[in-house]
Amino acid sequence: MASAGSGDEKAAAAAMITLISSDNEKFEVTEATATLSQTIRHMIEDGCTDGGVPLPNVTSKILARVIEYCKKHATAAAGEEGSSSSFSDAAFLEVDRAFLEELEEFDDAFLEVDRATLFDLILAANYLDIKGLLNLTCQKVADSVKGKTPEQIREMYNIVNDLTPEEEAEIRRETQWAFE
Amino acid sequence: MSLPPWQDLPLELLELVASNLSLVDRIRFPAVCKSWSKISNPIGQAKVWPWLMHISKQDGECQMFDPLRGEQYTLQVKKFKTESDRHFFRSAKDGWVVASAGLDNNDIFVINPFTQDIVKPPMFEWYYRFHGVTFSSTPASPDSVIFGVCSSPNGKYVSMETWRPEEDLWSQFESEHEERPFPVAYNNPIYFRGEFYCLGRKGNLAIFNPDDNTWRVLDKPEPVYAELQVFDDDHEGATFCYLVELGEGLISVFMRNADEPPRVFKLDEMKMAWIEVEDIGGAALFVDYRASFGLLSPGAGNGNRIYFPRYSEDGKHAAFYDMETKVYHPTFYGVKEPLNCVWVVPNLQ
Repeated sequence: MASAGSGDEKAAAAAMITLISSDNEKFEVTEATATLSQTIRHMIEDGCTDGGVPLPNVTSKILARVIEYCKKHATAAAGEEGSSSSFSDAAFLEVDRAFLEELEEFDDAFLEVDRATLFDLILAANYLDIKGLLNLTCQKVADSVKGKTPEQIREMYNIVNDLTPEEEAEIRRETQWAFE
Repeated sequence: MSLPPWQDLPLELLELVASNLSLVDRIRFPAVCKSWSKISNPIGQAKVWPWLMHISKQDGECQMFDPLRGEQYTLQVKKFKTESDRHFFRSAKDGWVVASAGLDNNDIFVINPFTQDIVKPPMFEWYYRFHGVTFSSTPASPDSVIFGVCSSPNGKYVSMETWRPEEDLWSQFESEHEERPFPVAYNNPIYFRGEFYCLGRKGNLAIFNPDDNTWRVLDKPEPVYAELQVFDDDHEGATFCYLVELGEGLISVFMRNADEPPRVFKLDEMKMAWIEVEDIGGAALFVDYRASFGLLSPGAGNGNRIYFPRYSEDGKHAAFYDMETKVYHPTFYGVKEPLNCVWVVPNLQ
């Protein structure tokens, strides 16, 4: 992938975007990385990225993680475009599969975060409109409640039960079997 | 450090989380707190897969064993609470279970155990005798057709019956196969592209068309066990072959006995031939003579498995055959098989 795209990379290198976190830290990223965020893509299209893109809702800690994700997946997107234009020959498929596996491993490792970070990543992915990251993080939450009772989920996520007994009874009324 | 307020996650994000949940998790999700209870994801969109439904007594208690999670749930089903009748499960599809009751099992009904809706076809004149029964669409819909089939043990006489809602009687059709017998497998027919596909015990197929009520035994695919001798009193191969719908295609599974690995075939529709396969692309099959199902994405670690209607004594482990390691789990023996059970994919709508 690196050899095929060296010319493009130079072109992309020319178009660098500066992202500014809520705590005023600056991050230089390529346009290809930044435009995984639909929010930033629209800003670039509107030509309002000169002097950096302020992201008042994202801390430097979270932004660094988000950029890490976008870098990896921007490379993946470039790789996919490359292979789709070529004929589907076995060697290419093999490379594709290895790459997808690597990406999956990256995603798994990326999600090894505490619940507070996961929460912030979801909000950041939502604000920046990064579909892949949003799906990934929401899937992680869905996986974490798998097989858990409401009580266990509340404990895990530090949620206070503010449902009245009547409301709770109503929710359980027709599907009590699933709570036992 | 302050804890993140998970209860304040915007509703559309909670709904995105909920869209990834399986049935039981989806049902429990709104019971966590007020903001989580506001989600509007339809229950019908939750991920589902076959559960093994079984009853052992006549107290209305219906057990649902989830083979992928190793969990068991208990449903109270009024219809199954009875002094007089025992119910036998015959087949299932789309969450609806075909069952029979009565002295001669001639009292047939179709029930969704989750909603307790019941559809009641007319009673049989004699007794329940289908080798396989299924239906085209949810029996509660007016254009549904229930289709049952059976054959004489030697396969020379095949008899089919259909019933549509509002009809007073079952319609009967007969077919003679003196030259080339078609002993029907104990197995649910599959409603596939508008017709009912039936597996023969030798592995060939026959099709019943519900629009013009015609029955035809296909020349192709050729039988897997063409040499199988089916005598009047010979039940070899009667139970252990299954026709399964998987994705857009048909699969057949043959188990000669418990010591041999199951053989799995994919129907190649171009050649109209059974192609034996070593793996099923990460899918899972749930087989039983009453009803069998295929599941394309059973989740990590559950792929390329054939699940049987049995599980360990502690109710935590399903019995299955692993096509990758070619081994039965736990062991083929030493697991309990509920006498009266059926695979059913939960449907709460």
